[in-house]
Amino acid sequence: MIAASLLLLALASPARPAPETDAPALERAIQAELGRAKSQLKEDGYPPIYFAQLTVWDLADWDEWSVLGAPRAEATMAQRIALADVRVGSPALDNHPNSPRGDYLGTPIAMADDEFALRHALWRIFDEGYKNASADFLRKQAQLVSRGRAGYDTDDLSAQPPTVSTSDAAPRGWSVERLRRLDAALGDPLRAASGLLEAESHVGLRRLRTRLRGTDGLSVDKTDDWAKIEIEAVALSPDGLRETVSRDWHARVPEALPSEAELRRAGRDMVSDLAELRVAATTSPFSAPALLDPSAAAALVYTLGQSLSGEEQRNPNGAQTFRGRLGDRVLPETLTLVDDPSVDSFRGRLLFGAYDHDDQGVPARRAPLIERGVLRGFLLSRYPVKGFPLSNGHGRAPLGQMPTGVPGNLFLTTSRPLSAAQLLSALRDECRRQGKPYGLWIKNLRGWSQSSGGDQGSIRMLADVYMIEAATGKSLRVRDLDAVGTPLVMAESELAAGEDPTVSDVDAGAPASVVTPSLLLSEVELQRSETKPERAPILPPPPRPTPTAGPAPSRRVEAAVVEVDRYSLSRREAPLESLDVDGVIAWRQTLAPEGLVVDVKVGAGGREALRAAERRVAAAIAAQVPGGVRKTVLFAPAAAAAYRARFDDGWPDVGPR
Amino acid sequence: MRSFRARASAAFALALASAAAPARAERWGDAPQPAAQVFDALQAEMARSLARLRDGQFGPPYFLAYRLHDARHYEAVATLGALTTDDLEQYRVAYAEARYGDRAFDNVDLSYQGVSLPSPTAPDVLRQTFWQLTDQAYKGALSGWLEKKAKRATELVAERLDDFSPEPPVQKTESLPGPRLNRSRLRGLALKLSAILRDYPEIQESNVAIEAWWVRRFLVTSEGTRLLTRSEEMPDELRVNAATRADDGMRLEDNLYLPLSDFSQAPSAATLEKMVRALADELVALRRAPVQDAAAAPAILDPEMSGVLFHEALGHKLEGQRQRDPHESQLFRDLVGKPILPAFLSVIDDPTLKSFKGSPLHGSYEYDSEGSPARRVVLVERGVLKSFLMSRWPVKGFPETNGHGRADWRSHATGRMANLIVKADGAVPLARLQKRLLDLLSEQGKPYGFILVGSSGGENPTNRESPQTLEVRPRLVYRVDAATGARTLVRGVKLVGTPLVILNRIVAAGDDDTLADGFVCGAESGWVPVSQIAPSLLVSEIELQRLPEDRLLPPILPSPLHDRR
Repeated sequence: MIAASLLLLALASPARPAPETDAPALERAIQAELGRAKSQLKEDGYPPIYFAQLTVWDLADWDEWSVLGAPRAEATMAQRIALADVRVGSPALDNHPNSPRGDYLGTPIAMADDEFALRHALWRIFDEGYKNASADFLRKQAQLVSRGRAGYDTDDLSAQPPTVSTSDAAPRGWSVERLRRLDAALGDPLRAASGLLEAESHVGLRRLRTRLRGTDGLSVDKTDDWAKIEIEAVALSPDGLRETVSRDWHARVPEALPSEAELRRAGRDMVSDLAELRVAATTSPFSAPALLDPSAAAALVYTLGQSLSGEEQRNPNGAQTFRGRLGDRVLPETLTLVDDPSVDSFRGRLLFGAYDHDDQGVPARRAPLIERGVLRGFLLSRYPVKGFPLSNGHGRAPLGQMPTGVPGNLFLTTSRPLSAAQLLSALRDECRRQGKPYGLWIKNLRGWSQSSGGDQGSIRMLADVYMIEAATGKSLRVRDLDAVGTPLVMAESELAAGEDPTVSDVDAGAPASVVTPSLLLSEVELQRSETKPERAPILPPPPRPTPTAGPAPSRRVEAAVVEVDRYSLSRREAPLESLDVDGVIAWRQTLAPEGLVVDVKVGAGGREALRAAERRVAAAIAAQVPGGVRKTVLFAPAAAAAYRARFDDGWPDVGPR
Repeated sequence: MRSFRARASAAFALALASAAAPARAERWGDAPQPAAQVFDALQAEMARSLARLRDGQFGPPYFLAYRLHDARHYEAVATLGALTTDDLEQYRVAYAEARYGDRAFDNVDLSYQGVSLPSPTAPDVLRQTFWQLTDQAYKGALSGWLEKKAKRATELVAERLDDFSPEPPVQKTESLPGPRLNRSRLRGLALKLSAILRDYPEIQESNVAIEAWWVRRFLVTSEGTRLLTRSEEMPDELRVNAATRADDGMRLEDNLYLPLSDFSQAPSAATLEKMVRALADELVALRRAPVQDAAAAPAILDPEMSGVLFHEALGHKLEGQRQRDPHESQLFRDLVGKPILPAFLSVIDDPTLKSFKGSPLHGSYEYDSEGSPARRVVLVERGVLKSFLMSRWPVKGFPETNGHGRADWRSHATGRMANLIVKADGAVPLARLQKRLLDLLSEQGKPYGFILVGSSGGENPTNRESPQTLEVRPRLVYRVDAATGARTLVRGVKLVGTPLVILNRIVAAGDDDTLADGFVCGAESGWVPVSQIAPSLLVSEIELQRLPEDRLLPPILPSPLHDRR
């Protein structure tokens, strides 16, 4: 594998060690052009540069994409990207935008340690940066003249002693071969499963070395590795909706990667989860008290963290949710929210949002945000907020973008933790209090989307949704419903929290972690998912090879004769747990509006034995569903060879059910 | 809108020396899946689909085609002697199309597209991919057929033409060398050539990009065609891009594109260096050139400019499918057998032509994207329109393909150009052509004429809604003084015109037929590589229009490389 060995070289090569010997020409080029920018770059009639920061990212990526565990594409990519933050005016008023810029501003520059080429590139970056800064500064002044200064406005750049720091850039023993094996292990059970429409996975490894340099002497070097394994599998429900399950793993060090066995298990779990999800019940959207497991609660906490960004409080185009509410109670008083990127693990698990210095070179600091429900602070970059003149080390930038205050490691804690059983019983109590027949249990978040902008921003969670019957506590899985709401209202409606604080990794620009327990909310609304019905493929999927690992999806029966029967269970509304009967080659089930439909393929050495197997199946089904079973023969007893010639491993009707 | 992008320059159309040192090659991506296994998987899924794919009252598709492109790609980009990109990738694209109905009336029209997905080449998963694609293509074909039939219920169709021409199946498995990449050599070449630009302080942006491809194409159809060929769509290439600003802030760009069958055919390092320096000198000269006002005057178009003009003004309008679509201008639909060009001009398209004066042509192929053998076709003979560029979609009077059904990896094939050749009777030496330019100027009483050299491409609408104005961007424009014949390099203009007018103002041709290679042509069926061979042409009147303004302040500080303070 040429790609693999090359990446190992790139990651392990001594070409990128500690900064002194690291890239001396890059260092000289930066100092020379930063110096020229500070002392000479000026146009007559325009203010000079008072501060400039240059960020240089070196990244080396390897990625592989697979379909059903077989690689379809692979890429290795390396780039060095530079971005200049050029300031003209003064810290009290400079060209910094009022609304944070979310666009990509990086420029690719020479990767080699070539002073000549690097200076040339930096010269052009600073030239453009200075011209734009001058123009932006004048436009901002013009706005002040016409609109005046907002009451909440303050300085544009906080004071900060320049940090000098370097970090270890030694290789950390990543192996692309191992990642490939992990991808294959995860894909194996999916490849063997029948009834999947799609399964796409991605493994990636990135080494990112970030250099921050400022005209004030700032000099910080950081190294971050990041391995990612992601997978998504899709099956069609009987009513033609795409049901998706997905999982992802992130690791900053090779030791934190999951094992092959773990991934194989996860792959199998996904297959059975999808099988369950396909036939889960459907219902019209409603609202009810809801219990959010830590993964779902993390989405809520993270969006809450985002609205506590310093930039948000001053963004005239933003919601400014918390502006002017300092000292007010914004959450129930049992809850406390802190962001602390200086903590690097929680209960033995490494935290994804940990770092030493932010992307403006400010040391990471613990930031108390909400204490016992009362708003106490913000996530601050060097763009200050009135009353908070200094950064608390949360200014972070996605690759090629300007830094803003964003969450690192968010910790939501409760002063009254409840056990899982207490939470469930509290959920049922709340349902009864509100007179609702069902409560909701939202688990295993796959992702969430946010609408942002001028409004408060709403959140939509894609997760497993269970209905919990208030009277009995019985749970029923439902599908094609998402939980929606506005983060602040949802958080304010918190009734109780669990004793199960759990880490969730968040990959939204700058890496972050959220540690939160389960949360019980007084009301959450459901909304239909966005998927539109589509027709199932007309033919069954092509035959698959026998799986190499994991349990066989269907039993290989040495059968001479085969029969396929359909059992319609009119009174059954939940899927069967199992159908562990001798002679069953394969079976499948569908929760249709008219009841549960179970198809069973039976095989045996002869016709007598086949009839016996059939009787066993009928008895096993009847045992699970008393009464109301109707049997139809889909494929009458015939030689196994005749069956295979017509249907391979497929089923004798159109489309999987 | 058709558009056209230059990748090579006639000014540098030098003979390619194959003097490359034998160098060590690296393995490039995974070992290719054995062809027989790929074919087996494709054919098994196709057979299953044909036998069992049906939907209620609707029977199986009457035609299926599967294509699979298996690609390795490498790109190195260097600026001023240092790499900025050095990326390797491998990927595959699976494509399927289905026809429902029969040859006389099926679901395909000009807007038809098949369906595509990225796919592994592992046979079982490949079958899974084509299972999904075939299902989608079949359902799409059924609904397309029903919709087309519904349209016929209300709309008048004057010409009842078949939808798919018969064509005998072909089988060929080309034996292809495995993917081998000489990465260090390519990287070295990019570094070396880009470092030359260090000597040019006036050029503010520059880079040298090298892209290498290894692509094989599988094509299987339900008619029995089974082809494995090297894909012609992606030649390796070397690009040199340079840009600067004149002192008045006008952005000036120049580039050199050199497509290569493979890098062992690259010119020698010394030749390449000369080409890069010539490009840089040209750009520096352009900075100092005066800005040209809009003008109408006689002009000589050099072979590359002539080739691009014919591509835009004539070639796209002779694509077969455009003669059937009522939304298209159908400029030439009813002119077969009638004169459309000056009688001394003929136009041919010949994908079977592999080289011209020793240089390879990149519009060449053996089988088009539909699997039809490539054929030479005379489009215009001594001014008279003879034929169109045909895929298997018939046109009135042309019931069969002539091997010009081309497409990129994800598109349905349509009639396209390949190697377009412009021939002139009574060609004269270049000196006489220039003399005739001066004569024309004095006849017309114009103070100056123009010589347009090279082209960076052009654009050309073909539908009726848009005015039929085409544009071709010359790389260099020289103004020729009527009195003295003196030439001045000018900047800031492009050629505009309407096709029939401009082609019929061609009054003479030079005897300097030259290959302009390395262009890619974009239309409904995607980007495909094309070549032109044409002579210099004298046009009695052309129109030059100002380029859109793009003025910015030049850098404040001098370049750090040339800062003498």
